[in-house]
Amino acid sequence: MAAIRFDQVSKLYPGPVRAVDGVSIDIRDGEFLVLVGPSGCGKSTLIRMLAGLESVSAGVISIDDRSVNDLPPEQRNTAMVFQNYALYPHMTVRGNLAFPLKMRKTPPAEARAKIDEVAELLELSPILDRKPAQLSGGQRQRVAMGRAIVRDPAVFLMDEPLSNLDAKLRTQIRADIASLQHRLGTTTIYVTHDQVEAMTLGHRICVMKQGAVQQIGPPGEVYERPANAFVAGFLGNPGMNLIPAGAVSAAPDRLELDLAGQSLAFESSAIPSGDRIGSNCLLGVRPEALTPVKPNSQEPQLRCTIEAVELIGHEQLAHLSLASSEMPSTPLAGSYTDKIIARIPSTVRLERGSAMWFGLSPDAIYIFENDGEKRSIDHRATESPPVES
Amino acid sequence: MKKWSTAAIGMALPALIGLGLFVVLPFLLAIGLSFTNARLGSPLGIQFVGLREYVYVLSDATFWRALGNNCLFAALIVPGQTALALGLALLLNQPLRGMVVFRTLFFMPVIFPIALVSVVWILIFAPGPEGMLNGFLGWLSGGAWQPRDFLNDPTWALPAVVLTSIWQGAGFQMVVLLAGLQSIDPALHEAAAMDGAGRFRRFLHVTLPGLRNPLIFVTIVTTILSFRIFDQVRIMTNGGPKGATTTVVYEIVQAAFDRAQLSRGAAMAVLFFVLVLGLTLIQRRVFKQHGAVNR
Ligand SMILES: Nc1ncnc2c1ncn2[C@@H]1O[C@H](COP(=O)(O)OP(=O)(O)OP(=O)(O)O)[C@@H](O)[C@H]1O
Ligand SMILES: [Mg+2]
Repeated sequence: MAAIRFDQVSKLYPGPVRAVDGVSIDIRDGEFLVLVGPSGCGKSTLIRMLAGLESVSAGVISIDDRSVNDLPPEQRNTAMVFQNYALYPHMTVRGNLAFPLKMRKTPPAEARAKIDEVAELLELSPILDRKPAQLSGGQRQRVAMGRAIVRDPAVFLMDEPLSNLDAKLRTQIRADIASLQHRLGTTTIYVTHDQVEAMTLGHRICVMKQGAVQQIGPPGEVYERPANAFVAGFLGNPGMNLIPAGAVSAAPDRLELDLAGQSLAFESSAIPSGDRIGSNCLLGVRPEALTPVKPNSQEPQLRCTIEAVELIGHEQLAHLSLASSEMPSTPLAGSYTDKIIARIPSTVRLERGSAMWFGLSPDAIYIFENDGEKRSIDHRATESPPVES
Repeated sequence: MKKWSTAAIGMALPALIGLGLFVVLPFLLAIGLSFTNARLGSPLGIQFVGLREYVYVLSDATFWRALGNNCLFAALIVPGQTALALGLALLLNQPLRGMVVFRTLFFMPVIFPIALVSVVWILIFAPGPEGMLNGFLGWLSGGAWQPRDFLNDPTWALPAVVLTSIWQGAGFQMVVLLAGLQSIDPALHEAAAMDGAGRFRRFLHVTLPGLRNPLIFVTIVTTILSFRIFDQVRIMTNGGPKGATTTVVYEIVQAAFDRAQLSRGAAMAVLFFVLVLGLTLIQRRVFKQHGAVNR
């Protein structure tokens, strides 16, 4: 049991590469925190610093208000489930489970009882006498989990522990991990690339980018009220559509946007008025919030051309562009294009090249500043924006 | 069973011919010769004499002395050289700058011909206070060391040859073990550290088991090599003093070429082959029981 605090923690690799850049996170005792972010954003580095496998370049990492910066890994009482499991190949499953207990000089009788208990919990009893090479991927994964929990560590660290498993097994073990963590109540940091794991596993999600924390919060909150365009585009599968737009009208309670020649007018107090936005912004809308409608000039609607369709079971992803045959698309600045993805029930017939109209409800759209930060101009936040530091 | 195609046989043939011509044929000849009284350069005809040469060799004290020395060489060289190579490999596996230079330096003795190495060490072991090792030991002990003639001293000659052999051979083992070290998943060390193992216990529980196969390979090869010791002995001590450093291969060469007793050399060679083969098979069996070979 332990509370963890990262205080302005940075990691510089020679190069110099700033892998982690002034990260401050408070993790409560017993909390399950999920770390997400694109490849190379410093997730592994962050938890490896907590484990003592990497030195800390600046800042303080503390476990239960005690700085662990200078403690070697063997004295930190953290346990890690590695991506490749890192089971000791020459030891049996029992030997692997016994190793951390032996290193801590647990009395043999106590150790045996503990191993049996963990084996029972993770259904390892029938394979206790096998070597790792004789196990399936899922069994290895469970042994790695067992080795981590057998010694009651203060902190669990998991670095993409399910990424080597097939989808079905992943779903099953994901649920097991959640219930296991709930039962043991051990503070856990879990690194993942997987959207579903990120949204379902943790108490809170921490989204990172280029070594810095972008947003921390409960999954629903981070999804509903992304702090910036990066978080909005990163979470969700596919992520939020971010369409560069020009703000035309600046009257109070009215926002008029220009999207590649299409004009959209919103008259609602729910929308930030034009005067709060620079002349450029990003219009954000989730793929599932784009619902096909009949053309109607009364309401704000997007006219799109269907470029491609991907059928995925009960629904389909329509890849759209704002361009129409009459009006070629104007080139847009920045890394955002006018490519839009909509998630549509597969009962709707879609035809490549044809035009489609989507209604935009003021509640479903997000406006982000189109500057370097791309911060949210959040009309839903009643108080301060949901950014923690 | 698959039928061997003509093409397969054709492709294997050059190697098979070479193998037959240079390995199998000479060995069969040696077996044949060992049952005769053949002498090198003798004008007399060759006669079949049955097991006479074997009986002679097996009752010859020099042969047993040579075999005993071989065992002593193996007993000193195998552990000594393996330990040294392991130590070097561990040192040279540190992620420090300029390691390549050191790795090359420590590997260098392997590419020196053993004849050259022997001559260098003859200089090091030179008798009298001017001898390099004597001088060094004298300086180290503040003059208390009595200079001696290492290579002509019945107690020191064999250790001197052992030292030379280890110096020359350790580099090869080091490279094998270094490759083994680098194939150990670093995550295993990290996992062991987080499981509470300090440096020494990580070495014991991660490094050594991870090096199991390279260590077995290196042990078997070094055992065979130390039974085959010849060049150092020929150049440094000529088997002396008083047979203190003689080896079976040295005796074989002595018999066959220096004393022209071709059949006696052949008999010794056959006996020796059977012995080394048996030893290797036993070693392999022992290691296999622990489930490490062929995995
Ligand atoms: N030993 C190292 N030396 C130099 N740079 C490194 C080292 N380890 C990592 N980095 C760099 O630090 C940054 C963060 O790496 P890290 O492994 O933490 O990323 P990550 O978020 O875990 O990525 P992934 O999701 O791909 O595992 C990367 O840019 C990486 O190139
Ligand atoms: Mg990583």
